[in-house]
Amino acid sequence: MAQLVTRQAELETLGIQVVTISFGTGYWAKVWLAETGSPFPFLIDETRAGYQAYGLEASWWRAWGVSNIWYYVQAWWAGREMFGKRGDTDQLGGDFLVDGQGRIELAHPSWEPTDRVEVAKVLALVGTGGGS
Amino acid sequence: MSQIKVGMMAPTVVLRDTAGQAVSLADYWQAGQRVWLVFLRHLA
Repeated sequence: MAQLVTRQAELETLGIQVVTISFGTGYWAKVWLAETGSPFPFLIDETRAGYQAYGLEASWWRAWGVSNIWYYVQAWWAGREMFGKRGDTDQLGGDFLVDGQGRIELAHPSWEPTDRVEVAKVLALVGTGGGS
Repeated sequence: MSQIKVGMMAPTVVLRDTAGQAVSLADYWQAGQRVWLVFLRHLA
């Protein structure tokens, strides 16, 4: 998320609107927005209808694999603040780029929590004028 | 596993903003702009 915020200007220059979606409650959404200062539109999907429509799965063994545990170890070591459990920690996220006609240009359901699309990949895709 | 692939039409879902107003994902791309949908994990 921090990567998206720091590169917001580049994304806007290329006409990319970032929209964040969470299955968290409205209460936790407001807390999270205050903590992160995210400038992007934020939508709440408590029933996970969107997560289901985009095929995003919940999996304990994938959510708590080595990469994610290592991420938290590094965060702890770096002294980053951690906020504990706020909802189903097994639910996985994902990234989807949609063009102005509603067509999917990039589909990246996360295999595990640290598996997210790099901003550079999206910028390169858009910069070259189309999906892969 | 997700069946969403490049080239498909994006599923349209109606969600809510933090004020409780209904918002369709399609509202964003129907405005003619490219949209990056970021589905988050839990809000930690």
